[in-house]
Amino acid sequence: MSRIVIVSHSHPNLRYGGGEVAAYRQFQHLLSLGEDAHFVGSTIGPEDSDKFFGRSQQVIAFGPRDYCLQGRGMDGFQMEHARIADEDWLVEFLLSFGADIYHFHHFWNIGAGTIRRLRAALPEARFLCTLHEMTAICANHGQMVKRSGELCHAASEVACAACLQRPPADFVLRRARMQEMLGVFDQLLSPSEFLRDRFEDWGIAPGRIAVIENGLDHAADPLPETEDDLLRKSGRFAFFGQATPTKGLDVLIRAAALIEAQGHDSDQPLAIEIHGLDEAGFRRMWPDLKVPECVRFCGRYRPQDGVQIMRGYGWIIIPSVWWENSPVVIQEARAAGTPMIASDIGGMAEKTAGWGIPFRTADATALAAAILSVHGDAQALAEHKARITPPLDLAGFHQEWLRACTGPAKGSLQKAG
Amino acid sequence: MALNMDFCFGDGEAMLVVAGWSSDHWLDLELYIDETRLAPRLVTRHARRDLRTAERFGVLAVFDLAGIDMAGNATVHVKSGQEFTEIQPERLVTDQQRLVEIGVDELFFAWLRLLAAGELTMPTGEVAQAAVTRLRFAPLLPRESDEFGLGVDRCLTDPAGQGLVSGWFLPAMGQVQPLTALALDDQQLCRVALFAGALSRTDLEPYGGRYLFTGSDGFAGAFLMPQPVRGQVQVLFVIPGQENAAGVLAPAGPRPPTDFAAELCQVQIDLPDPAHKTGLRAAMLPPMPAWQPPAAAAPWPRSGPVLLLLDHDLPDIDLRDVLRRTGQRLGRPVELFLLRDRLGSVLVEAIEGAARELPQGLRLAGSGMALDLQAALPETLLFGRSSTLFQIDAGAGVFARGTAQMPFHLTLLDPIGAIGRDGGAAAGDPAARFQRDLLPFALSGPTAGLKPMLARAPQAFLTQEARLRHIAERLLRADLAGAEILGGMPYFAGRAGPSARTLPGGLDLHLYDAESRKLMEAAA
Repeated sequence: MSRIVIVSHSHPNLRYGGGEVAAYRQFQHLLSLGEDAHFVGSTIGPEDSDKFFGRSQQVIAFGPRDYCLQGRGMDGFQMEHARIADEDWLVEFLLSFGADIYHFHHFWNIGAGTIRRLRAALPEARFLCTLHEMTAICANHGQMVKRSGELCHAASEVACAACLQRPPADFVLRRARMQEMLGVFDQLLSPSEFLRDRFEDWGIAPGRIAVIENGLDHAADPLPETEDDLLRKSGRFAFFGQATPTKGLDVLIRAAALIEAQGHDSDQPLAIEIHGLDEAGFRRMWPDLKVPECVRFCGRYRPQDGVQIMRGYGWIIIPSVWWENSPVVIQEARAAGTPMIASDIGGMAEKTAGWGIPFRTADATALAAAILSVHGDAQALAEHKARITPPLDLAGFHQEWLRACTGPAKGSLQKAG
Repeated sequence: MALNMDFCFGDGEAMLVVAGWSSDHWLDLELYIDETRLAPRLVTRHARRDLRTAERFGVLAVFDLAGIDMAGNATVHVKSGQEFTEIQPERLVTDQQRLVEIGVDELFFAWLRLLAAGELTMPTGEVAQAAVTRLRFAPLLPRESDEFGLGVDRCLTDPAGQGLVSGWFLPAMGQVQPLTALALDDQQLCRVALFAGALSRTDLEPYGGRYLFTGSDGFAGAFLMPQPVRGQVQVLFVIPGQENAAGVLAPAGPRPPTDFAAELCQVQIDLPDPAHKTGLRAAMLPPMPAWQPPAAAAPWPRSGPVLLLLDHDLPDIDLRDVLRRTGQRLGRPVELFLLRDRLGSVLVEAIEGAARELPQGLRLAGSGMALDLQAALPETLLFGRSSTLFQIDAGAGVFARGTAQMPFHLTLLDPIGAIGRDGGAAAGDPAARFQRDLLPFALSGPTAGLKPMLARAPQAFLTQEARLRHIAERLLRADLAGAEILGGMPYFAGRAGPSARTLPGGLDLHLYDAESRKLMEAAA
């Protein structure tokens, strides 16, 4: 039996981001299959660490195979440990597993140097990395959105220097460091073709990145719906997400305000409900935006309840103003059998193609038009629902992952060569 | 009444100085060298209190001997009125020191005034030592009196012996002579090139009731001690109209080279006249030394440890990547000398991190703004900026192993040269572009060969790179270095590290050194 270590930049016991959730689901699925799997997550930085760790404590265990490192805070531009002693410890810790497979989900808090050194020490092991966003390409939080708010289509030393106000030479170093680090993996994985294409445009050789969706186990298929159900749901729209600027909730609120201002003559009342934050949280982010009457804030929800909540709506809206990659909201909407209205870029366009309605990104008027185009239209809702295919489940993910794990390790190939 | 001659001596190779006294205010002086008659180029008069009079009986006359053939047996006479005094040849050699040691104060000060004004050759050796010794006990002036006010805002030196002064001077009465100055340490004297009245100082207007205020009463001055500094440097401001004291003495504070350069740049900004800006800088620089690198040695075996002399011009944390990449390319043990005056924790961590990943070995051999030439160093030296070493091709000659036909190797990033090589019109002169355009470069070669050349390179440069660029240019012109020209595209310069410090006016240290080089070449 192979020993597998899943390494993540965070731990879902502490934060519930897409990358760490996907990593942890993979770990749990491996355990359910009886695999010799271990999970190594991390706190994000000193603020989190202070809650759980002694000052000199490097790791705590949430379970016999479930570890959480003390994240010291890592400069996302450099992606290296500030203190070499921390890197030494982490290399020693990861080496101690003597694993056959190291699968990294992200490399923040792990460090490029850690990965290089681990690779050098374990030439026979298999190294995989899932790319959850574009941090290696873009130093602006990996979002490829310029600080001006404009979408960025390609990284270059000069363009990045202009965006981030650093000398171009810094980006020469950063790109080299990132590409060298990615180069030590036997296999890179991307949950979307969009992300793979971005990395290939950036310099990763074609064929190095396999596209495997994150696995999501989902409950039984949705119950059959009557025409009345569909008609009622055709007036119910929902947003699931956080109050971060890039999630585009402000675009949705503006669109709702436009609809209300122009009036709409459907028999179905329009309801737009916001899950993931309350109105106070929204006002902190956008204090000047008036919330229309058709919008209601529902507050936070348990992640495992997301699919069930989505089934109560006709449409899920994902108005993000950055590219996204493979948002879990889209997988959950597929699991719920609820179609989407989505920004027409990146992972959103790719993942909702055929069963979603695209609108021009960041354009509240276009979003309002998209909402009105299906509002009160039970037939359109039924047609879109019919086109939805369920997301890849964890068993399906595992099968594809096993294929990615075949073949000799890169280190041993180099050694032989 | 004729001249009572006290001293007569040669000054440099082309002047003769006569000193003494006469009650005749319209003294008629001539110098006879064999049959050649010369009138004095300059005669100054001063009071002699030893004569118990305030009359300006003291005489100091300068004769210009340029173009005069003084054969070894030439006879020299000084004619005053109808009297001829023959000068014994030995006096021409010994009288200068005698003047300094036993001349009356007023004469000594008059001699100093002519030195400060640049009318006489600056003494060296024992005479200079004697003058410095005498100045220790000479009467001095306060900075403020009824006759004048002197403010010294800057009085600075750097380790290369460069000096900078600035301040203001307000006399109570109009003076024919400007403010002048001399710099001295324990053993030597030098003239301060002083630009009096060169700086606008309208802030001094409140002094207008006591002194003559013009609004441009600020001065700036520069000097270069001819020999390495010994002891405390001081500047003697020679005050016009004040003949009974040496002047005002101000201690010069030592500054690190870059801080000194920053002060100089600030003064240059304040000087409205471009000629003063240039003159100030030129006055503290020696002429570019004339030397040729020794002929090429035998083929050079490039093996064993490499001394990496690194100007790290990227963020500190990036040093790890630079060392890792450079070490991988060299494939040899690396001993690092980092051109930093101190190593912060990020740099230390970066070096340790790189050492973890270079199996052949990486060791910090030292740090500082210049290589310690006395230290035991590896046989091979490689110099470059981090941005250059990181971005040049992996196959660049400076990384090569195996025996080289030419011991020194220079890799240049030269866009014009590369275009020319690829079929463009003009390849031009790479050596000229190398200096003019400050082309990025890396230089490798035997440490033992580079050390003596580094010792000969101008110490006035702020950066080690400027010295090595100077050496590389000489090697290039003498065809003693294997040179390869790379395209240089894409290449991005580093903007971090001490050499990237922006001085007042916008120059970084590399550009500052480039200006120094031009001025030194112009003076050569």
